[in-house]
Amino acid sequence: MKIFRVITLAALSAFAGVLAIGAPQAQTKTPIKVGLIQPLSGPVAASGSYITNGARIATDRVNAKGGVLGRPLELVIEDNKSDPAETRNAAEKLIVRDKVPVIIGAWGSSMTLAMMPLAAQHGIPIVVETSSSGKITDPKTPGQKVVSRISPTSELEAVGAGALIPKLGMKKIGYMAVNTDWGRGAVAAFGEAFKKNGATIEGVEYVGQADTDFYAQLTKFKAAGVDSIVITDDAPKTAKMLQQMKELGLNVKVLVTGGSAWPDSIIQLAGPKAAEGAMFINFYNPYDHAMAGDPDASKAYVKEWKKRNLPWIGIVEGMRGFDAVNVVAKAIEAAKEPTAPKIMAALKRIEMRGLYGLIKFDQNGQSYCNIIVAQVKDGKYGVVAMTPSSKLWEMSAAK
Amino acid sequence: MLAELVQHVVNGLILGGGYALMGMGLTLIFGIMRVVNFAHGELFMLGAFFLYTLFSLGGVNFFAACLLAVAGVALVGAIVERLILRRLRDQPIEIPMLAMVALSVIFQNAAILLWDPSPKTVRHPFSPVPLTFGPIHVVAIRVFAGAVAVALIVGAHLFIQRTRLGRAMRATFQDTDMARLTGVDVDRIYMFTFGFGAALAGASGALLGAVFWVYPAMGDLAALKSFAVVIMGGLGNFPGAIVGGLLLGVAESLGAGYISSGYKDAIGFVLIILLLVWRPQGLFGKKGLSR
Repeated sequence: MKIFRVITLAALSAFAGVLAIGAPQAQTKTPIKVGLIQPLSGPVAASGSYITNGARIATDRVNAKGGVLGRPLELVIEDNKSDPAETRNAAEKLIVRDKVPVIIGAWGSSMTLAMMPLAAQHGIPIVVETSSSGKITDPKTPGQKVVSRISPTSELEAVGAGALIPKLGMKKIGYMAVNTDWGRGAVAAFGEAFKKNGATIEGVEYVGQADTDFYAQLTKFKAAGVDSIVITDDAPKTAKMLQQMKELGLNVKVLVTGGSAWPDSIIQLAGPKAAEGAMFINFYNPYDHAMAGDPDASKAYVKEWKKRNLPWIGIVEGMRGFDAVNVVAKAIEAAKEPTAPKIMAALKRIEMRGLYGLIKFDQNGQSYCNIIVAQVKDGKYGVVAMTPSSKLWEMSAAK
Repeated sequence: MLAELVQHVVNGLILGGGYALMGMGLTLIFGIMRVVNFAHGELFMLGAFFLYTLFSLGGVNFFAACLLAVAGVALVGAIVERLILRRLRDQPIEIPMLAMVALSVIFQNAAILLWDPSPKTVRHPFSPVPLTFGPIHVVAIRVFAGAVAVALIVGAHLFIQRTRLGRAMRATFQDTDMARLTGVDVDRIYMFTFGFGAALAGASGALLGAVFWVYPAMGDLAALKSFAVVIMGGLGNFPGAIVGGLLLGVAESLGAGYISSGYKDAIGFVLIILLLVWRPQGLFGKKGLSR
């Protein structure tokens, strides 16, 4: 990964140089470092690269407007190789050598959980952009106090989408989930929501992070006679599962949780036939800016993503990196100085609109986002339902 | 009940055909040349990316693109042998092993830079509609991949056992000095064998890349399964690679189907441990074969 990092840094510094011409007051000041840990190699590297690109777009946008506190932001990007142990190493390097005052990361729940105790030990705040295991914002988890999470928990997804279950006619469910903290957390959260809404879970099958063949699990579900399959996994594996369902002659309803897979990515990866009818829990819709918490930012983000010629299927994940950098920039601005304790305190008070929706953090460091249920209709993107983040905030306040 | 069992066994055979395919390049390089090739997965990955580039981006005919991709990986293999392994041939085994670890990291990151990490789908010319036999379903591309796997493995086996060049290869790796004395061009044999093994890895990558999808880290799983298949079948034994692959596939499929899919990989490896306790030389390996 050295080569990758060197080239990334070279590209970034070249870009910062170009920007500096446009923003003279930011030019002379030393940049404020922001750590970003993502899987840039290994089985989930595609997702990590999308989020890194989203973060770059936000950083360049902040710097083009003159930076934060008159200084430019500088992303220090580390690769966690899709691995929890490597995530901890990356966090240690960012904290000890680069001395970053804040870290964004680290995609997978197991990866994020691995670095939390270390960040807490050094008092470095973490902005979590993707991970959705409930453990991360559970006060019993070591390191939870430094976490501010903009991505939803699986429980929140289940609340946002749970009301739909009887309407969708899902009765006998087979659950396919990736064998990580994310997958296991989602199975627990959705299992409860399904039971509450009158559906039964016939079986749960866990799959490895790098698996490509799901015939065994799907054959089992077919024999059990399920009418729906729920999937918690990334886009490429979800696409393969849908394809292999068709190959085995398994024609059932499909709901995909987690927000990594969305209609366009599955249409491209699995083909429109295998993707048809599948439903997805998403947090952002790049076709309808009015759905985002900040429509202007959404417009600018989509425009820039296209301008940079980035893969369209990654735009829904890239949004997480974009929002995370904007949250960090806003917190540093409010903190008045870029030090870890000040940023941590500022994050607790923050309230802003992002692509995720209304972003602010509850006492456990959790924000609530828009929950959109999207569907492949006639080979194209369609929306089934949406629960705005403001409604989830109202529901939680009423509780 | 019976239909489910038959489908599980069919799934396992299809999966196992893929594993045998992954393992065959390694059985030559690791089994016969005794190079612990940690870059095997990356040669596999290059085969898939060459196919993707030629067929999906370049518009070359699918079967021609497969052949060209295999030739490309053979060339990469020959270059690796000439530039790296030849200089390390007389070093202890861990030196070329470390070189191959480095190479695997370099290849994987080069692929990320060249093709970006998002997974690519190869829209192969086979119909996605499954062939149906009563309650049993199979898709054509997987049958094709399985058939090519068996043909390649049998072909490679006959080539090594029956041809003059094959005999020169076996002689070289049994006793390099003696082979050199009898007039074998040992350097060329080394380069050819590594290139041949790389070509087999590339062929499996191209075929399985078309069945599943193409991405830079795809070699990780392939390398793991390949070592399992090769060790299970017996080092350097081609029929062993077929049986080892099929056995692993069926064990994983039945294990996932009737025990738990969360332990799918564990079931395969428990099987390997049991097998090695019973037969340390592998299923088809000869006792005391070492160098």
